[in-house]
Amino acid sequence: MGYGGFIKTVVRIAVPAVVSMIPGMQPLGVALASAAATGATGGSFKDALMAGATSYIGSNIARSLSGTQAAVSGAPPSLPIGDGATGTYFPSLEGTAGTGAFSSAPFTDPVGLSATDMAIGSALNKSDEALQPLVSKFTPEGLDQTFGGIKKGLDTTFRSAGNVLDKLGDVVLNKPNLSSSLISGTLSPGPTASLIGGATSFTLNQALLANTPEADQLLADQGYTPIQIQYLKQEARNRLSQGAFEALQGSVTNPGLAQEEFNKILASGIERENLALGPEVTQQQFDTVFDNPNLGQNILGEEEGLRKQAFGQDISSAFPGDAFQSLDDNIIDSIVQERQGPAQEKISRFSARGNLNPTGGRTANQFIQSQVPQAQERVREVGEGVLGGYQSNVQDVQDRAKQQASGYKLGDELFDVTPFSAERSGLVEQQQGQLGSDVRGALGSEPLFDVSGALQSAGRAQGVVSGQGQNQSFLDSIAARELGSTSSRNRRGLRSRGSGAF
Amino acid sequence: MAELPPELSTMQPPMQEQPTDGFRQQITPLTEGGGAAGAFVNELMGIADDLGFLDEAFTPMTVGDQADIQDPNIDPMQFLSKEQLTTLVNLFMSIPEPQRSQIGNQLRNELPPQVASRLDAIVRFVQGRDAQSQVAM
Repeated sequence: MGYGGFIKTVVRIAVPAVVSMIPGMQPLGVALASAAATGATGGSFKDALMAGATSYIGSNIARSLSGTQAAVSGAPPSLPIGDGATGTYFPSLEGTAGTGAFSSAPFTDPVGLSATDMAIGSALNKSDEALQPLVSKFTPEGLDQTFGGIKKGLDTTFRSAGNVLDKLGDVVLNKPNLSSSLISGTLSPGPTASLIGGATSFTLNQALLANTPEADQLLADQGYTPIQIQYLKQEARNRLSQGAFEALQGSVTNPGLAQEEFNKILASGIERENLALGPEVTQQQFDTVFDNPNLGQNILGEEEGLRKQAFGQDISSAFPGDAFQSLDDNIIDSIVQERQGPAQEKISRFSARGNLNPTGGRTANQFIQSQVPQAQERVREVGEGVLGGYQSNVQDVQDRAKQQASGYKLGDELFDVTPFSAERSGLVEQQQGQLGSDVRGALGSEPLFDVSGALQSAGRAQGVVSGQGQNQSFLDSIAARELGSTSSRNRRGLRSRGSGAF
Repeated sequence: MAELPPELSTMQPPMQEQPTDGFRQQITPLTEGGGAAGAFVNELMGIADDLGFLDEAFTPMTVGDQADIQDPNIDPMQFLSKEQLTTLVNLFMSIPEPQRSQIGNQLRNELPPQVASRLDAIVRFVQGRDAQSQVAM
């Protein structure tokens, strides 16, 4: 009973062999590489291959490989131009954790992406091993048409489609009539830039990183399409970034973070610097930024700052401004009524002793009633004071949270706002429930109603003696005259010297 | 009528899914640029798909696969029908030189000698049968 090992082996050997040696088979090679990557990660090889076939026209990875191979062979790229694609930046560092500052954004192609292209690019980036047997055929080693060349290709590392620059970045691009102004311009002469036979020549990497119209023209003269140039430029830029990343890994001391987290911080820091440089920079401009000896510490410092900023946002979210509801009107009314009742009882007792006639009593009660709005305002005022005290307690909790967060250092345990948030919630719940009693306590014996004022008002309303309203002025005049005529009183008093009227 | 060589005498009707052209057509855009070699690859992968081996052809060899390759008594083409075999060999032979020889050499170098020799016998058989057919016509 066979297992199909023979036919599988024939397929396994023959297909890559044909792909490697027959012009025009590059699209299949790229699709196979992508499908192999998918298969290696548990997906369906066949489905991925068919999807790759459907989308290969738009696959810029195929274009890139084709264009790069064309650069080696001297022939112009043969694949049609589609839309763009991306190479994931620092492929081994994908994924996010913790705060947003940890994430490493993909380095996207400015010419635009299709979802399929993204998927293929991602697959290429994620499965090195699966790619080696197939994509390596497109490397100079892989172009070795002997089987030994193919086997040797199996041992090469191929991280992404753009890594063809690892092999081809130093390929010299020749253009006999290249203007000498290219040299005197912004193109930086790298270690392999040279004058060959009187003609100016540059490596592929140098031309890609020159970012001058002349360099672009040089690339175009090699047969690269504008989109291919853009893609390769991005890959060249990615290679610079990768180099910077690896340099930082070796030079920056890990402050105690897990290695993966540390790597992500460096990668995201480089990404920030890279993006800040803008889309088109020369290698010199790039090196100026990334050769900074303090770059690593700066990145760690920025990360620490970003984390503290994130902690601050957590605290702000956990401590919104209005922790407590304002004093409810029902509570205010309740407290006012508690004070209004005794005030009115005093007036009633005063009246019961005969000190107030009906007019005076009514006037006094009206006076008390008129003081209700003022009493309410006072209660509200006291309530605000109590709430302020509550808020101060909450603020104390918040201040402690801020203090702890501000003391964070990379390598420490991440700040967690949860216990502070829980303390705040408990405090709010407890104090909101005792607000009424606390306001009563704060009011103490402070009178909300002016009983004396009410009685004075009543006295003025009813006059010095009792009487009907229309007679009051007359009676008061008499009473005043009585009080003011001392001589007559003496004359008529018990201690008078004469009998007087009697 | 030509006799089947020993390698094919025990060939059983393949236990396989009904072949469909869907997969072949789907990948044609990827292979048509390769001319005859592309057509060969297209058919080879199509047959592997028909047999349900396509996914496994691009993953590491299993122990069973390795046993197949090393077993001197294994029938190399036991899963293939005569029609499939004929089509495959004819497409292979239509690949221009020197690429055809190079591909053949790679196969011979990779496969164990006894299996490679059987492969050569299969190719010769199909060629001979076709030649006889041409004469008969």
